[in-house]
Amino acid sequence: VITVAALCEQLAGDVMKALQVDPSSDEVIDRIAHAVGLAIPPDVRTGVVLAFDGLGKAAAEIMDFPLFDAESAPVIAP
Amino acid sequence: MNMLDADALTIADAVRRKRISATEVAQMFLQHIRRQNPKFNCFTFVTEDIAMADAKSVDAAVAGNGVLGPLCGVPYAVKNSFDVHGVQTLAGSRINAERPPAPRDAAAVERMRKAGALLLGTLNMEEYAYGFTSENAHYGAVRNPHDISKVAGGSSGGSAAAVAAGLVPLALGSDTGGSIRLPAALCGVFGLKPTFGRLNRDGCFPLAASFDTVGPFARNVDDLAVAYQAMLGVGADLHRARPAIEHAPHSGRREVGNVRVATAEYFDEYLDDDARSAMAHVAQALGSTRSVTIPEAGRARAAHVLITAAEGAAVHLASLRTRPMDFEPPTRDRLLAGAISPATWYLQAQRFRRWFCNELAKMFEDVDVILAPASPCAATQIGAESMNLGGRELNPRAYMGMFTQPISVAGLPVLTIPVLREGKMPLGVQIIAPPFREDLCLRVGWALGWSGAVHAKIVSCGMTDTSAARSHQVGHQSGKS
Repeated sequence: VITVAALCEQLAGDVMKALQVDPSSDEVIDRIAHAVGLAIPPDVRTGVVLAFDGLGKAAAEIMDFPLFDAESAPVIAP
Repeated sequence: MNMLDADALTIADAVRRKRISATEVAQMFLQHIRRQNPKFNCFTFVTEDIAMADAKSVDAAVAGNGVLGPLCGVPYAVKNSFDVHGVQTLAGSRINAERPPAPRDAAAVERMRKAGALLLGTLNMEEYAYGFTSENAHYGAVRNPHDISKVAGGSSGGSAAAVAAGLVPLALGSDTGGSIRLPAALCGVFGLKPTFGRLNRDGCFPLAASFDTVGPFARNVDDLAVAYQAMLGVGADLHRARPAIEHAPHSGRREVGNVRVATAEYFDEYLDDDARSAMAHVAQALGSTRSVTIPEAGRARAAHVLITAAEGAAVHLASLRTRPMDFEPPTRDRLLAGAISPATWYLQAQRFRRWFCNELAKMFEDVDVILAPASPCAATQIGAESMNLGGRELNPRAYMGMFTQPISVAGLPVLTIPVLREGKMPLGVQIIAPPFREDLCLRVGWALGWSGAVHAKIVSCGMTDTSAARSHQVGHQSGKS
């Protein structure tokens, strides 16, 4: 069994791992960036990955926090 | 008549009684800014033409026995994320410097003008309000008036420092995760972050729509309350200001009375001895011996980090696509990371936010006001990459706001009061109240000020120092014509 929090950490970790192997690889971070129309310049890649790793750690803190359905994400009312 | 050391209400009273004209007040402060600002780097534009036009209107109203606002003839300035008609809304960035001047005033600026205040300029800040030190690579770091080698706190550092330096008696800023509370504390002045949604933020450049709140800085609670009331009103943007004022601040109330005060416990391991003693000083002055634990403060801070990154990235996506190298590196890296973060992270953070709001509402069933540190320590050196808190090396730009970010998640109103210690840099304490109970924050602040337990520290540079004038490099904007 793997928790959602662990998956978050793994996602951020995968990016780091990919970078360690090949900093210019077209791995996770580039694929996601491409999907939203972004290109991560090679010389800022390390900083972006560190920031993304930080977000992954923050996400890991809350993803498995038990919440009820009533506390679902906000819905826009007309 | 020298008004440079006067507070806002004293100036308004003098103008109202015709002891000095609004034009004379404006000229006096403009000259002071020209001479002193280069030391502190607070202003990015001095709006001389706008100030003189505002002053002329006030003087005409005084001469014609017209209606005078509560801030008639009071100089003030705004963080450069506020739209000012005819001035570029820089928001601390190089990118926005290529945009045309704002076509109209922000709602808060309109309100201040109706109250009779004189707009003297726009103030330096962290790039796109995304940080806690106001170290800006494009426009230079804002310098703390109490020690110019140290940061002013951010992101509204120019606003807090301008008040602390005596350049203006009032300033406006915005707070997403602590950007009013933190610089107010580090610069030794008062700052009010109203309830999320209380004031109209139309015309204020956004960081994160879920948290952005506008508010004032001042040298005492009376001035702060009048500025806050001047900005109340219904907004025209999607984020409507809440019109109903059920509990108007009452300046006559000078005692805490039956207000139940408790001290918040969270992140205690990161608090240094000075910040701990500042908290103890305020708790003792209020006779508070009770404490409460902020539930899941770490997760609340995590939710704030995720929501801010995602919403900030959405604001800047176009520029991130076309010109990422024009951002400051720390801003760019976090915004790019936010742009590629999964939607599930953001949505879970928002769901957690709902839970956290509900939990804090329960806490306020037993207490009326909660005290919390504004920062883990006093101002750090400009350029410091890390600070040691609880045995860990942490980046001030990201971690100085660790005590303010969780409170932003709940959207609560907070008054930051300055705590001064002989020979040391200022610190601050947050006075936190339930939603839309700014009156409670102000009442406790009044009581503390009245008792002498807290007061602002203004660095008055006088009018005789001309050496700074020669190195004056502040941009001047003609503004309205």
